[in-house]
Amino acid sequence: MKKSLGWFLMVVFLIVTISVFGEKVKITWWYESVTPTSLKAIEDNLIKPYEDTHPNVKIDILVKNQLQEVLRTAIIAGEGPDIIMTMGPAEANRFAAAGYLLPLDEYLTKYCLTDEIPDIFLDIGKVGDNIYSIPKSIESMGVIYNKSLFEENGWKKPTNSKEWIELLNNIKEKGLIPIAAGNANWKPTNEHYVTVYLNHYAGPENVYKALKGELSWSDPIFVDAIKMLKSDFKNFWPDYSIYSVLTQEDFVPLVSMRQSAMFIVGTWGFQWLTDPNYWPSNDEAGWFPFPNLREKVEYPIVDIGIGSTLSVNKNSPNAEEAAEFLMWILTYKEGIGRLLRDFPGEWIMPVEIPEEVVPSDVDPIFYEHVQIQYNLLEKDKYGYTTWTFLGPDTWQWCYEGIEKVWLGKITPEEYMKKWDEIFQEELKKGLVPPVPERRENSQ
Amino acid sequence: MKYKNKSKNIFSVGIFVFPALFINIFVILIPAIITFILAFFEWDGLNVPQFVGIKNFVTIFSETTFFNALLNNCIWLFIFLTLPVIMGLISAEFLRQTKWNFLLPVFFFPTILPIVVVGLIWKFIYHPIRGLGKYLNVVILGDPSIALYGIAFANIWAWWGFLCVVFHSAIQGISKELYEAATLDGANKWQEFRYITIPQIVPTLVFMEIMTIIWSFLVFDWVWVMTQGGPAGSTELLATLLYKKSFYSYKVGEASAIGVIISIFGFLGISLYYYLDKKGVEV
Repeated sequence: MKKSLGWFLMVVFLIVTISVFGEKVKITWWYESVTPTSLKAIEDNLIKPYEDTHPNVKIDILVKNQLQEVLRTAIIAGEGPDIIMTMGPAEANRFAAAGYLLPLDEYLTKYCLTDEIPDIFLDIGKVGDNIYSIPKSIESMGVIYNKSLFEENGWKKPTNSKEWIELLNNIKEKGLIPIAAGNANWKPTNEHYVTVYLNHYAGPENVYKALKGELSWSDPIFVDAIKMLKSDFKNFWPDYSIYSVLTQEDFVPLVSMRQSAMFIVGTWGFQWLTDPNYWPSNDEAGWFPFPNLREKVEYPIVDIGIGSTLSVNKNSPNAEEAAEFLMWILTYKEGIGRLLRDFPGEWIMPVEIPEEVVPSDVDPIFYEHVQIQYNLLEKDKYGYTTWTFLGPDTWQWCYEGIEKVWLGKITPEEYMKKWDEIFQEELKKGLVPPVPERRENSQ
Repeated sequence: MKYKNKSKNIFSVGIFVFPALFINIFVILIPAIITFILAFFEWDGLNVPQFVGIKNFVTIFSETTFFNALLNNCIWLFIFLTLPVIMGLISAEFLRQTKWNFLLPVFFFPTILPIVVVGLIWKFIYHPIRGLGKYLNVVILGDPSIALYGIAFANIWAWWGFLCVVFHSAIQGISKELYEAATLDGANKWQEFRYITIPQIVPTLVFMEIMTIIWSFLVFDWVWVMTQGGPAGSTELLATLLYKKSFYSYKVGEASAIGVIISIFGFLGISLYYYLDKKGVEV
């Protein structure tokens, strides 16, 4: 009896020991809503290579619909994933300011990433003296168009306001919808148009000043930008009643099938071009930077945004391992290079990708866009996207209020006046994300 | 002996009541109390809440979006106090008169479908390119003047069957002699409905109307699935506004204040119930 008991206890002890010491470190990562194909691209290009080279680590990536809502609820309960993926610096910085994120400075320094990542992308993830988030998707606004349609009709890519309006009128005369658009499954789509019109009419320097609180958002230069957007929306976008029920699954094929000529979109739009559900025809697609809408604004510029950020949950039991994984992603250029092909538009990280690791079958238009974006960024020829550089209330007014302008319920003056009121309030409370300094003499 | 029996009774009753009581306290009562308290605090959901008194209520009452949402809830209430109730009554009476009870599960079927599924299906039906909406001259969910009615229509489609079943059940409790007597007196079908059916099921009718008042201010899922409060806020309801304030604007205090206001309407509905009961109205 005693002997049996002894054997039993030894077996239990062994089982417990093996399970404790043999267990892998599990890093959880909640990812936003994504297609199975794109999820597989992340697993194949990042997760599996990491697990292969780090056999004691298991990365558990879970897709969460309504990520923004579930993430906050989990984090404040002291739970949540190890890798925190947010919608942008505004959200990440809030978590950081409340003490939920791990500072990444020592890890970035350890891997010499502070030298490689441009200051603009380090600064924007800073709260106080520490960096808490790194951009996962650097994006910019532009225009994707039906290149075959343009060539057949002799239409040129516009570079200024006059060419832009002329092009839109020419397209309209052909019986096409000049600009395909819809906000049915993402109401904040409205802000994409506000972003380009503000930056390309008022100019990035004025937007910068306004973001720093040095220029009022109700300044006539911004009001005039919104007036132009109001007029163009009425004349060249689908009717508002149609616009508010269309999704990208509806309007992107319109361009491919020549019922419309182009759509204004950020870098994420490139993933649709490789999907036959979105681009069913054999027509060629193209991209051009949004034209500048006022003479004094130089061409070209791109409106830079950060679509999502990656951080580490401070309360995670595996915080260090999670931070190491994040740094590994930034240094694993082959993986990021392959994601340019397999998940275009969503994994443009702030590190230089050598040409030799970029697969030869990356969509050339997308790759050209990434190069242009990077070059313009280097030359300080960039504007500011509203979802990256505004506080949450101003951001909400930006995309909700513009609908009232389009429907004639309020004037552009009233829209920008309220924008300024909300913004100044948020600036006082420290809710506006940090705006990296512009170099002097930049546009 | 008497004391022992009483303890035993309390214990036996407690065993049956405790699980439901436990759930009610921890899932309903405590969150409700916390929500009420948070309505007087400014909280972004992350940092420590700061007491601000009635500031959240003052802020909400100064916003046109709040009154717009409240108006939409009132419109919703009016629609659901009338249309589906009338449809439920007429169909229940129809089943009584024809005795085609096999139709009951058919009428009830939409009620058991998940709201998200039904909402999405109707969204596709209304779609101006991919749905039947292309045959209409109007884009229902895209037109601010009618979008709310479009959503209500979809909800009525899924709801009236439930009311039919409830009224049908109530009608089963009416003595058949009343109808026989009416027939002998020469009453027609409409008179039977008007003078027998409706008066006899007034308690059920009143109860469902009161519940409708409460439910009308809780509506969220239909609007969220179909329009998320758009276009241009024309379908915004108090519940969707609460959700946006909490999760998009990081204003949990103001969202809680809206929650308190919603519960006031629920309280008014229940008060009406007790008032009518006290007045001797059968409820």
